[in-house]
Amino acid sequence: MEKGERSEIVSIISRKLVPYILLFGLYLISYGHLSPGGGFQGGVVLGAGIILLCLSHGIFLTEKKFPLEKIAFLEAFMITIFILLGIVGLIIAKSFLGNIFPLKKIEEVPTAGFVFLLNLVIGLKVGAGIILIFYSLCERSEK
Amino acid sequence: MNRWIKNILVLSVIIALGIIFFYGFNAHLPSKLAVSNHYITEGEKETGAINIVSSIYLGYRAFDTLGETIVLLITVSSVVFLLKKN
Repeated sequence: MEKGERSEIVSIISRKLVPYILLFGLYLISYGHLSPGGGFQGGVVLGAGIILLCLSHGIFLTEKKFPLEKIAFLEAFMITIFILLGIVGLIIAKSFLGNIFPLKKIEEVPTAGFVFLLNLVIGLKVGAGIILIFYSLCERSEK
Repeated sequence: MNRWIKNILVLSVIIALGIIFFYGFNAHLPSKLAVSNHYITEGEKETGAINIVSSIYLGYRAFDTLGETIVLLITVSSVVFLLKKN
């Protein structure tokens, strides 16, 4: 194989593998209050999926699918939602980030109130941050 | 001579700090375990999360987690700012 040529095996395997990595990341985020895992770990798995796509298909194709502006917006938007949830808890539940949803018995329905929402917010935010750092490193090394 | 006095001062401060930490933060006394026992026994009912780690860092210490995410936001924005092209 010549230098700089793209390998078919790496391309096809990573293309088939990336959706399952993203699904596993979402599973870790959404089951963070029931099983080991949580927002930070699931967000890192989401970022690792996109980084695998970058490494196997190049930065241009990946950035066409996941644009840099939208990911930067996602990161800033998620921390705004975090603070807004805190203010909503402050108004309704009388404490900052207080829980406003009713807590049932754990055996009936696995609802955790704010824990699930905060896990989702933190996971998307951490994934967006890792993808942003990787994009900026790639653009730096191209020049 | 001056260096010797400085070294002895530093060594004595380190030994004093070690003694203070050994006796002050000795957490094996039963009266100091009340907070952690409360987290373990009541954490599932009060926050609704079976995972005790989640119930602590998103239930009891959620304000701490907000600061942690702000630290991450500042880190990412500074990296993007320092690595931009021009």
